Amino acid sequence: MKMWKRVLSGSLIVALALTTAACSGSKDAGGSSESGKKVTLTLLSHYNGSNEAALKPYIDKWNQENPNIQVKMTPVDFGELLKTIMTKQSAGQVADIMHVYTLWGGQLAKNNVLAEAPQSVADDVTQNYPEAAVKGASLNGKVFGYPTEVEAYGLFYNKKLLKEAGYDEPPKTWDELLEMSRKIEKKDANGKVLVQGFGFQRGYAGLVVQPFMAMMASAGSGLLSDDLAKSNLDSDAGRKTMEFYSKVYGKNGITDIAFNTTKGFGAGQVGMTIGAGWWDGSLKTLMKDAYTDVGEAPMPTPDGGAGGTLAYTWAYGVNSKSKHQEEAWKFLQWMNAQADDSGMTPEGQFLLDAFNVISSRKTDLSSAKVQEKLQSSPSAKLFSDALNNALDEQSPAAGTEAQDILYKQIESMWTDQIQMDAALNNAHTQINTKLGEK
Amino acid sequence: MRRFKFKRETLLAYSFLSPVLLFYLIFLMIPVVFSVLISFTDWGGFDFASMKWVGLKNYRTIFSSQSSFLNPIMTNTFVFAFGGVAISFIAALIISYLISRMRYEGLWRTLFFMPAVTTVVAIGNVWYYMYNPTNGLINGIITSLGFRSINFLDDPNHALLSITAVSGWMGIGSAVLLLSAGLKGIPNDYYEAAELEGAGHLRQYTKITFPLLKPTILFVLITSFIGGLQSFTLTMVMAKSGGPGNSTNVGALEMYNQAFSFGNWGVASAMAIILFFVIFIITMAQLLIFRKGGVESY
Repeated sequence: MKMWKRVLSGSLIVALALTTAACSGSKDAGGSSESGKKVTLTLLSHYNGSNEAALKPYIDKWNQENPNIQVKMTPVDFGELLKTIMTKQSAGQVADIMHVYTLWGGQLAKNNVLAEAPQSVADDVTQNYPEAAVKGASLNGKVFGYPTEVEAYGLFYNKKLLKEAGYDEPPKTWDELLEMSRKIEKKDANGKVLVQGFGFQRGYAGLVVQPFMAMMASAGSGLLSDDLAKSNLDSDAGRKTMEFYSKVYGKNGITDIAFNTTKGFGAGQVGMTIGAGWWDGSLKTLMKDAYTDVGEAPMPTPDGGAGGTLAYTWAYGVNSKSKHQEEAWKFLQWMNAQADDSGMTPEGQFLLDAFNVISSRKTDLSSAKVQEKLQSSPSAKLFSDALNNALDEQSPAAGTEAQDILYKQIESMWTDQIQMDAALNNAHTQINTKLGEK
Repeated sequence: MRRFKFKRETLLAYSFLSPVLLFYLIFLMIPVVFSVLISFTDWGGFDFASMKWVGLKNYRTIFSSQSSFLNPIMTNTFVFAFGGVAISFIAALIISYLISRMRYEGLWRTLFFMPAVTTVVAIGNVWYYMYNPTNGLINGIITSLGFRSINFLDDPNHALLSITAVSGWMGIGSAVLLLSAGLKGIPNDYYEAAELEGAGHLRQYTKITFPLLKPTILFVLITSFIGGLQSFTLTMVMAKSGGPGNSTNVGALEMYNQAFSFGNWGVASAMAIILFFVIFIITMAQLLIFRKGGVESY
């Protein structure tokens, strides 16, 4: 027995020692951080493919101007980014700079992944960004980095399909939306959807739950209480939103869940859906000439009155375990705060070029290029204005888990595994339990 | 003198074994012990300083009425593993017997083995598109015959079975390879003698082939079943997070999500320990059943 105890405790000590050793240091790819010596910073972000290509010229420019502080991008697909951050951190291969979705903020804060921003950065962020963006880039009231994409949700519609069904304007209320959808929807003799009136995009939790939160915000409430201690799904807004969701797919739904709304909208086969501002840029590239059919409108509300929406934020932060934090902040200040001759920051230009998204930074907003864009692009103006009455996406430590719970209950309801009331109650109870645990 | 010689031989043996033992210790024993330890803690996977001892809390969470781990997740895991093994094993038993009596046996074996050397992600994606309700190949055939299309992956009544069918199809190749090798080990004399005695094909199969193939069958069943219980890649590719709802979610996928998506390493480790015991008990039961049937070699 004693021998066994010794073996067990020995194994544990070796295990801890090995793992601690593995986690203790960051990957020092490019040399030391001492001044004058070349340092290579790793930047982990979800910008891959064409977005990576759009960001690269700015990174290359920095690398040319700063031979001693080189930045190396590591693009990761959005769905895998949090998992990549977590596995790399656990394995000791920490990235110096991380582009994080602020829903993960609570989880990352709990595990001390992100470093606190220096005072100069914190002051710059609080003075130059709107409140929703500052909140998004803060953890426990302390700024951890620069907000980048601050995206609001709105209604995307196909003008041509609405016109064919006899509508000149997008819906203002949820009831109008459902009524119009029924008229736009077309099916063949076998019941196969040819044109979808309205559909929610599906595939992963965020794609389903964020529009839910946007609709709940348009009905007057956030998903969670302000202190992030409990779910608001039992509120009037929560019930109304779940009721609306139950009318879209399932036995009594207006359309078929199997129809791919995301692809269908790009192919001009969907009348209306809910999406974030960045999607406009993707649709423009995808639909080419047919893009002229795309229209965007504020989120419909239950009664047609002025309502809110949801804004989610991405932000650049520096790893608390990075050995080159000073250099990383230098790069981030250049990227996010240093305007060129046009009055725009590199980040502001990148957002505009890659996504047709207006940067939320005040100096970018006042630049001539952005002002011109706001005049010429109704879409950019709509989503930029929407930020003024948007609720920020709340990020408790159990934020990802809470969204997953709601997602699974909605999907179970949509596929007739449970009724609307059960979906609402299960989600409410389970989210409250998770929030209580963390 | 003799004792000294024995010690030297033992030392020599251990020194030859030491690389393997060290490998086993570092890459198997330490992670296993570490997993057991983590299962009693609340840990986000990053910072050892934030690790908090919580005793049996993670196990209580898993077995609580609100948890979906036992039902539907573990139920799905069993359906997936049993179903996949049943499809691949029965198909492989027939195919291996048939191709062992055909010309170009090697070619057939290669063809059936191809899915086993293709990545799961590629297979999952190909089947995902084949199952597509609007423009997938399978639904194209169904609708061309005048039937309504089937929501293979969006209908909770079909989703798990649809993925299980792919898993079974994927497993046929490896099982065929092993069973073919087992068939080759059966001396032809037995069949000749049986034929002379007037035994038909069915009798030869039930009285000669099947009994002599039992050790191989046991190996195929145990390894396939363990693989099925641990599998999650195919589900992740075809049903993302195990949806709709939790209708295709399996134990290993839930563990992966708990650890890497939600930062609940304690809960994920506790689930892994539970799954380990489940696999252990089932493997023991399989061994026992086969021993009663006369297989003593395992």
